Formats: sequence, C-alpha cells, structure tokens
Amino acid sequence: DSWGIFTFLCAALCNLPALPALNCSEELGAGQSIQQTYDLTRYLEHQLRTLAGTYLNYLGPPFNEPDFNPPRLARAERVPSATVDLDLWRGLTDNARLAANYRAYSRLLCYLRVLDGQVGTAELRHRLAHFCASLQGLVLSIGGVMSSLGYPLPAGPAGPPAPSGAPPAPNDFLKKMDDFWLLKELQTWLWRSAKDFNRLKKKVPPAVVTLRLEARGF
Amino acid sequence: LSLAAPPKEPVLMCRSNNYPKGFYCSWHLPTPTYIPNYFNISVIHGTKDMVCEKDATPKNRCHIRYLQLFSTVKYKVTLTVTNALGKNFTTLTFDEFAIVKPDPPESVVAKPVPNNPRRLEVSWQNPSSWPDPESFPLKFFLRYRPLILDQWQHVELSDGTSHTITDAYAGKEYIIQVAAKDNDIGTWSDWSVAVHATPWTEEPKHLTTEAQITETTSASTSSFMAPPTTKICDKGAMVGSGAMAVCWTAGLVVAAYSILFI
Repeated sequence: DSWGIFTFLCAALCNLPALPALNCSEELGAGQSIQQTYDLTRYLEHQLRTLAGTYLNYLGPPFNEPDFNPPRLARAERVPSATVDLDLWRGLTDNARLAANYRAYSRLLCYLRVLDGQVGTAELRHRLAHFCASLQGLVLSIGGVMSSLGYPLPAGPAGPPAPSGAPPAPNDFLKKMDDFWLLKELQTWLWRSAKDFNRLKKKVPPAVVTLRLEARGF
Repeated sequence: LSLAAPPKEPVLMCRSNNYPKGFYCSWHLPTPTYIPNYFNISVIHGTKDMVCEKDATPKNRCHIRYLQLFSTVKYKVTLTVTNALGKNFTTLTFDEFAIVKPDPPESVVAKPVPNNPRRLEVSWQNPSSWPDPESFPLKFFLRYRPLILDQWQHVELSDGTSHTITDAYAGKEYIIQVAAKDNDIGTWSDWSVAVHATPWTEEPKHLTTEAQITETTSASTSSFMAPPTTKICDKGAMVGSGAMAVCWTAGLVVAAYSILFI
C-alpha cells in the first residue's frame, strides 16, 4: 500500500523539526537571531536556484522550460501557500508571521525529504541532502527567534501532513507536476521570508542585544 | 508618399516600479503604420482575468494593482494591435518578482568636505514612486570617476541614503551616479541623473609662494607690488563658501608682507 508507506516515511522523517530552540540563539538575543534567519533565507534562495535548475532538468521538458506556466491542478494544497492578501500580510502580528514561516518550512522540509529518497541520480541526492540540511537549520533558527521572543512553537508535523493531504500521484506526469509545484512553493516562500524578516528586523531593536551584553559585564 | 501598412509585432514591456502596489505595462509599434491603430491589452493571472487600467498619460500604458502578494502563479499579458489592414500581437509571461525595477534615486547631491582634499559627501533620496521603503527596503549602487578618467569605481550600499567617498583624487572634478534595487528581488534601476563635484582644495599655500616670487623679482624700491589677490580668488576651481575666507586670509598675508618692507 503506497499511501501507507508514504505516511510512514513522513512520520519518521518529520519528527526532527520539532526540536526545542537551541540555547545559543537565546544568548545572541532576538535582534541578532532575526538577522541570522534573514541571512539564511537569502542563502537558501541562492542554493535553491541551482538545485531547482538541476532538478527541473532531471524532470525534463516541459518542466525545465522557462515559460512553463501550468494551471494549478485540483489536488489538495499540500503546503500552506506563501500567497497572501497585501493588507492581511501587513497586519500580521509578529507571532503569526513567525508561525506561518515555521509551519511552512517544516512542511516543505518534510516533503523534500521524501523526494530525497526517490530521486535517481547521485548528484541530485547529494544536492537535495545538502539543501535539506540547510532548510533544517532555517526551521531551527525560526524556532529560536520565536522562543527568544517568548512565543510558543506551533505544533510540528508529528504525523503525516494533514489528513486532507494529497494522495500519491496516479501517474508519472502528475508526480512530476507535484515536484514542480513543491519547488515553486519553496522558492516563493523564500522570497516572502526575506520580506517577513525585514519587517521583523525593524520591530525588534538591536538594543535588545546590547542589554544582554551589558548584563554579562562587557 | 508613405504607404499604409498592417501592424508589425508590437513591443511590450511590463515593470513594477512601485512594488508591492502593482505594475504597469507600456507598448509601441516598432515601425509606423500611417493609419490609426487600436491596442487591446489582456492580463491573466492563473485562471483570473485582470483589468489593466489605461493611463491618461502617457498613452500606450496601463497599470494593475496586485490583489495578492507572493504569488506562485505567473502573469500572462497579451497585447493585440489592430488596424484597417491587419492585426498582430505579442505576449509576456512573468513572475511577480521578476519585473520589480525601481525608478532611479532622486535628489542626488555631492559636496566637498572642508579640510579634506580626498573626500566627497554624497546623499540621495528613495525614488518617490517606491511606496513602502520601510517594509521593502532598497539597496543602492554608487559609481564615481574623475572626468579625466574612463574607469568607474563602484560601491554597493545595503542601507542608508548617503556615503562619503574617501579616495578621490585631489582637485579633480568628479561625476557621480546612484542606482537602486529592492533589497532582495528584481533588477537595478537606471542610473540617476549625474552630479558633478570637486573635492575641497587648500588655497593659501599657493598664494604664499606667489608673494615670495614677487618680493625677489621687484627692484629694491620702497614700493611693493601687491600680488594679484583678486585673480587668485576668482579661480574657477574654488568651491563653496570657503572661497571668501581664503580671499580674506590672502589679503592679510599680503598686508603683513607689505608692512615688513616699509
């Protein structure tokens, strides 16, 4: 039963992101952590460009064509989309903003790990593994920021992603379509996160870091 | 005598200089048709048809407001041109992020720094068309060179709207320009209007040398030829209000020498 295997894989691989925040990010202070998280999203965005290029070439045409613009199929949304109404996005509380990022990347990491187990070439497996490690770092970093600001971490994807998650694709082409949209969502989230963390940077003054340093007798 | 012609494939350009508000598209025909042409523009976002509102001026331009941000689905813009003799069209497909290009920075000002012969202070403002620099900050690219050289020097600045050049060649006139880009997405703006500036130069040393030469060449008479102070003070290279102060200082130096020879 392939659906059962998929569920099991996700359950096994998805427990990792639910780790508690590391102590080191609390020491640095929220301001510094936000900057680091922002830098991480930029780094990942850069890494993804190479990874996506390689992966889409592996999928072959039409997925690797620059103008490829397929309609969104009526399959259930697997990952929370980065797309949002402008005013809604502006009005998000810091907690909501961070939580949205945390949830999205936890889910994305989960799906990418499943992908990792399925791809053909060694080069792709290597790239995916490296990317997953970096993405794991991002999830932990966001978790660290949330903890240092006193926000509870959203419940991690301890089990398979949402009962309404899409069943595995019935054919090879649709499976490739799923992979295409996964990469697209990931790319869009990384673009959005840069803007999310820019906003957060403005709200958490660097004075927070200074106070902590003074407390340690610097 | 020009022959009326059916339209060739039109040239279409779409750009977001006011992210995240929306974007505009503008178009033109590569060659004239000599008869009236009618343009129709359609914008599709996924399954949704969007209305691109025509601008009063300039003509051949329309704008769209984003309903949602951070979209994974591309925008497809189709421009159709029709006249009595025929029809033609062109299409553009793009991601929301790909067409972001701010207008150039405004009010670029470059000033010399008093008592610093190798410095120039440059400042500018965000383009007024960029609606929200707080949430969508811009980064800047500064380029400068002395007029006499072809090679530009570049500095990229990730925040702030001012910069001090510290390696200018003393006494040389510089040309300076600034460009802007969203911190994370899109492409660089065009270069701003160029500004010119010359670093501060020290005048009094030059004047003292002239006074000494005049002293040695004139005959040992009681009359003392005052060096042409007016000429020095009128020199074009002098910049800023420091010029007046230097002129007065020059006058005082000459007066001092005159007293010595009486």
